[in-house]
Amino acid sequence: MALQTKHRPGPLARKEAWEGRLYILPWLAGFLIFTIGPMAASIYFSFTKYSVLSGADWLGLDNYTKLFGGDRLFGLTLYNTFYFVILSVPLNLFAAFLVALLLSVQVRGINLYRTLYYLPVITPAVASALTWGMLFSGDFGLVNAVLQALGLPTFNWLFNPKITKLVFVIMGLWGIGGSAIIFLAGLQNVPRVLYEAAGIDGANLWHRFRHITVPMMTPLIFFNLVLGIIGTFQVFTGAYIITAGGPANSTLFYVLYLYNNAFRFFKMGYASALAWVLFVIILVFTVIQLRMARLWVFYEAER
Amino acid sequence: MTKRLSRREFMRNAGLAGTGLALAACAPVAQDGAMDDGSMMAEKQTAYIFDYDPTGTDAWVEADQLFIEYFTEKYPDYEIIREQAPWAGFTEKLLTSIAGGSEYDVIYGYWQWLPLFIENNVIGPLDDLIDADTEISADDFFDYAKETIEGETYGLAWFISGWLHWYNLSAVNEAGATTPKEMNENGDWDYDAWYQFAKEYTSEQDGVPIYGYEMGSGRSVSVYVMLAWAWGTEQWNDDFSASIMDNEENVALWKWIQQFYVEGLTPLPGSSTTEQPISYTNGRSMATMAGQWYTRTIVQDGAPDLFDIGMVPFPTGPSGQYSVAALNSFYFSSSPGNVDPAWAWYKERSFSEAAASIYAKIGGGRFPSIKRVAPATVYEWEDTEVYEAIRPILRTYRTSPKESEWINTYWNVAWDEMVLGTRPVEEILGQLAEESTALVNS
Repeated sequence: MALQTKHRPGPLARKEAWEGRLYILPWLAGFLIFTIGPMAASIYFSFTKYSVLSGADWLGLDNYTKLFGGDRLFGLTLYNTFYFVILSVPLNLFAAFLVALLLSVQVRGINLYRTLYYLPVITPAVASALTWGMLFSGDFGLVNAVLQALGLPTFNWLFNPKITKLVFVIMGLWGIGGSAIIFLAGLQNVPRVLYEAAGIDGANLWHRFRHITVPMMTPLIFFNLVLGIIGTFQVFTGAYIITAGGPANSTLFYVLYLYNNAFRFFKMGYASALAWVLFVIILVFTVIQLRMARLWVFYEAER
Repeated sequence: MTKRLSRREFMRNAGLAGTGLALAACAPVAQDGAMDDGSMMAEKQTAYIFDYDPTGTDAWVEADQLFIEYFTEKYPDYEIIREQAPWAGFTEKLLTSIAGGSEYDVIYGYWQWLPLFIENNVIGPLDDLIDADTEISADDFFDYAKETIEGETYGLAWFISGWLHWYNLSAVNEAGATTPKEMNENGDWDYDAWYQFAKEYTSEQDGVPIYGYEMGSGRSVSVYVMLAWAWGTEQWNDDFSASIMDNEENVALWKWIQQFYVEGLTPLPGSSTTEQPISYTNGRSMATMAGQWYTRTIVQDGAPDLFDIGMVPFPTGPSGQYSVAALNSFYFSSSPGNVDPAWAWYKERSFSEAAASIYAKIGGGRFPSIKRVAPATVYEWEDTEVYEAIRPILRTYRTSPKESEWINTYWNVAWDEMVLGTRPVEEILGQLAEESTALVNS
């Protein structure tokens, strides 16, 4: 039987512990005041009628009842957002993975290419939204100019409800640099020895990719998938800047509708209810992904 | 002798300094005016103004500066502190600022924001101030120029915009056709003539479309608002309890507007960009509709160097009526801090001769709500007869209690569908009327 002894921390350890607490105090205070506080307040406001400028009137579940029972736009914004998520997330993951594979090839100027692919990530969202708006302009946009030069049909991209969401999906590809860099780091960490062993066993390039690269990358694919879904559910800037939700509400995404309620109509209570519903939706999706991860994500350390 | 800090000491001192700075940042700051020379500041009465930020429009910035100089010279005991916000997000910035504890005595206004401000008790009625004032009376103002809700006046327009039809006079002369002005004088200027004008002058030059008409700014409710009264209709019944958007007159008007879009006589939204506009002023559309403020745009864009400017009032519509006025007013706080300087500023800025003259810089043809100040004319090509002709025949636009939400939630969608022609107008307006009625009764 092992003898258990209790060590009482010495004066120096106690002093350092207090100093440690003091050091994290600014962050902790900021976190409590600016993150936890507003979150808690928004739960309360979601059960009230609140315009910011006057006191909150308790409504009970009315905001939630209206959301699920009488608000046609709630359903529409969910449809628009799911449409965007379903198309955008897989496409972005695939494109980012592909770009990462290309960027892992050692060619002259590779660092320049890597920088160029990452550049959009640090471009201000509003500036890039305005640029994309000009590119897709129906009359003068570069996209239509190129299509016209190739003899292909042109579109009024931003004023055709059937294709406007696709424009945002295409715009989303602009920001794959962040995921690509993560994939690139993962690709560089795949042990060379695995490829060498597979080569000795006669595996060709495809087999090596399929049975070594992809399994070894699944933790990063999973990571990018989770972040991608969380991010795309909150799509906002482009729709706010370029189309303002139009035409015919085809780009009225969930967070834009939330913003309109909060800051255009000053229905903070209703907007808070919308925010919490979105939180639950994202939470459910994240939990499902975590559960499903056991089936397809390969962690080397677990083997 | 210098003492080297150990790593631990350095970290501790840095942590303490950081915490101290954070605490210092949280401490209350001295208010403006609480200065050492308190006796000097105490004599001045201050009015706080939340104003439009015209940065980028040099003429407006210059006019603001001139007006402030004029005001401070005339009222040396009053101090004006202005906070400004650009048009985009103006209401968001204002209301969140007020929610954060800021107080403003006078607020720049726009008719679509009025119900939002009243509903949130941001602004109050002017009636008591007008009644108590010895220099003015309510009768001095055009009735339609008062922003009134439920019998209470919240704004006296600092400028009134009766929209006009602006056309390319050179193109009409080259075609040897009758000008809209001549048609107006002959009594032939009606809505069919307007449509025929657009059709006549829609063409293509070197593969680039030239539009006969530019219908206005995309999804703006203004285009409809300016025309509805002429067609004998509006959006709401008398007490705002129901939408009448699906009545015969509205259906007829929307169909009239729609033909411009579906026949390609006017550009679809999204066809024009800031960098490459389709504009009356660059000759890519042969006519457009806008208020008198458009004179500044015409000059800024150099249009008078490209072609002769033609202007004519809108035709009276099928109902025999004319158009509504677009009002730009300032509003007064529901709980002003210093009434005297704020009201002095309000009056001077809204309807003094000096303000009318100074703000003529930002576009000719403007006239304030007070009858005694004539429309300002700045450019030689302006047709002052047109201004004088429309001045007495305009009408108030009635603002619904939930204007902003209504426009952003329902109007824009219906307008998009009309422009795109996705459904019959009757069906679009039927749904719009139903949803609008539900909204105002919610």
